[in-house]
Amino acid sequence: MPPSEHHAASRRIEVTTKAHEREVFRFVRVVAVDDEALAQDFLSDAARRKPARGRSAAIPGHIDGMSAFRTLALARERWQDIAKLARRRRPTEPIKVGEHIARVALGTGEGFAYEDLGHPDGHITIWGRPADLADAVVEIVPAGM
Amino acid sequence: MRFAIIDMEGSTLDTFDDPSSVAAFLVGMLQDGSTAADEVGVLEYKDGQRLGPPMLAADFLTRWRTEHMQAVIARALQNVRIDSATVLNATISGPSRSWIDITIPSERADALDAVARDSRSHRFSLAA
Repeated sequence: MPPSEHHAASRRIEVTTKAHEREVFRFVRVVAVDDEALAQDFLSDAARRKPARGRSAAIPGHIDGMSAFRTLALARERWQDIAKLARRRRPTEPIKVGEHIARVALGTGEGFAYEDLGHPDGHITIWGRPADLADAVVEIVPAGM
Repeated sequence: MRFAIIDMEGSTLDTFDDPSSVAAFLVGMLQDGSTAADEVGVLEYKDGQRLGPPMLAADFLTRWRTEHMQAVIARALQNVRIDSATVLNATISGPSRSWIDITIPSERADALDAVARDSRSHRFSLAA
């Protein structure tokens, strides 16, 4: 099925007004908000040379964003899924995405954007400069419960 | 039914409503060589609720091929009017996987005659 038929048009929302502000949740490797390495966890898929798949291959500019989640609970659910898959591969394998989740407040005036297609898994795409996204982190919590 | 294909970074690579599209996506991705079968997982949803644990792509494809093969065989048997309860064994084979080898009890040779009349696209063998 060609991507143009399979994928809905972009529903990217620029955070330009208070009404568009929202919190999102992203996996991070660092454990402290003031860790200078935090910005590295907000590199776009393109910057990390991730192959374009599915929606990223079909929608121009999508690969300049990165994955996040609608709620902390759904981010934790995905982390548990990754952990289960990793253990299935190798029981001692570390979790590639780190073991923490950053709560990120996407505020007005920072050039942030997001796309939430309403999928039940809570996966969304966010855009922003790595340093700005790192500055927008409110807290970092453990991914595992 | 809805399926989400995820990677080990937590991203949802794509979503599909049917398992055949998931299989086509996974096979295409594995064939281009950039991703291994254990670097991608599949989540299954029904009415917005998760069904079962995450599956590695390799596990999903094994399950899908089995189910797909069973469905193809069931349709083929229906076409040639053989009761599936009669069949001892059935597999898809042939250079383009266009044949179905089935094994039926020798006392049901009459069924084989019916097959020979009704279909030239299947291959059959009798049990000893």
